[in-house]
Amino acid sequence: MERPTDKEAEHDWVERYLNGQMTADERAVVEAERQADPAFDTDVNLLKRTHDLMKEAFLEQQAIDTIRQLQVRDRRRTQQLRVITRSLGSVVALAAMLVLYMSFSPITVPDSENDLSVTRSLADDTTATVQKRVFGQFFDGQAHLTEGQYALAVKNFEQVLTATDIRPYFREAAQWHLAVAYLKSGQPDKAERLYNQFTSCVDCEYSVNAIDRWKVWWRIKLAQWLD
Amino acid sequence: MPKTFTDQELVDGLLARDERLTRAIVQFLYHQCQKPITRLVTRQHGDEDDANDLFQDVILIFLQNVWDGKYQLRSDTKVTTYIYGIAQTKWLRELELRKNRTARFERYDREQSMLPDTPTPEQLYLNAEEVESSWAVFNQLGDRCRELLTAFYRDHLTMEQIAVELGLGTADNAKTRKYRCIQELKKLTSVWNDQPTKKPNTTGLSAI
Repeated sequence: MERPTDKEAEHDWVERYLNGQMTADERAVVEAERQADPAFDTDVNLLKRTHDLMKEAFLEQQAIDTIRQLQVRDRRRTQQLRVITRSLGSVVALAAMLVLYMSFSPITVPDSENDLSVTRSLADDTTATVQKRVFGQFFDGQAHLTEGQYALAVKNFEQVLTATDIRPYFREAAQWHLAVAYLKSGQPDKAERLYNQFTSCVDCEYSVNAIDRWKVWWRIKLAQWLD
Repeated sequence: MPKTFTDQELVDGLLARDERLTRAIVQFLYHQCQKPITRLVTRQHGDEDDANDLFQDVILIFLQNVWDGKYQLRSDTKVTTYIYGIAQTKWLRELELRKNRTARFERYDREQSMLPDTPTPEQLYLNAEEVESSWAVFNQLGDRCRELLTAFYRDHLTMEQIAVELGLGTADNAKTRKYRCIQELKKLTSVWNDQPTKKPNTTGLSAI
């Protein structure tokens, strides 16, 4: 095929040459034209460069798109990581608050054992004297607990529990108080033995709420661990 | 994990001007260089968005330098070091420009004068920088020409498809339009190649 005279057709002809879509004979014609006509040769080179530039432009556009996608993905990941970190931080803070609460808030056991009617045989004067002594020990124990004299409190509650003729409710109350007194006086193993009696108890009369039970359990374990 | 490349493979891969290979190389460079460049910017008065913009510019400069033959492999300088170096230089220049801009705005505020309509030397400099890549040159074409050339040379659509998609009537119309667009781009290419800092690369044409 001869070199076209029409400019647009010539352009298509050169593009076919540049894209390697010509036969060897056709290529030879173009090569000859390039040799013979320096202006044509310059134009072919410029079209080559224009093709390269377009190809590079497309690749650069693609590169920018790729980078933007990666940047968006990384930004999302960073945000997710921040949310997770904050959530974990909140969980850790809550756990720490729970530990502090369980470790340092006061343990409360019910006061209803102060009712004299929970003891037996008040009508009998002899027995009543014993009961009153037991009561006295109990209240002294409570007072010692409040004042921080835990060794004395232990002694009081242990004496209460030596009495045989006391109602189960009052015995359980004394046991709970003794468990707390053991704990406070640095005898967690003894406290644990008493505490364990209540974990399997199905007909206990003296009711200590679950949170205070957990507090006692936690402080026993903490004290044993710190030993 | 993205594919890894040696420096030689990076340069050879880019010179092949292959879409998939270039994408893989860009991903590799992103994983290698984005974090150090982000650190560089955020430690020097910039934020994450500045770092992202800078990284895009730096990669474009690197690609263009490879294609233009301005970048030569050296045994004592890794590609990633070279890229980091471009980022450093460019970011320091950006900081300098910002400083000058702020000083100028403050001066204008003091004088209660309006900003001039003519571009400032910094703006001229930035504009000149913007046309350092093939992409920037290509973007100087009008929207229609860009769409048409992209459809034909990148997406390999036929003239009939292009005529329908771009509403050009017949395939002959689309072909004539394409011819005009390529002539326009040739002019831009010619101007770009004639820039004193530019070294035209007229070898190794790959089929488009």
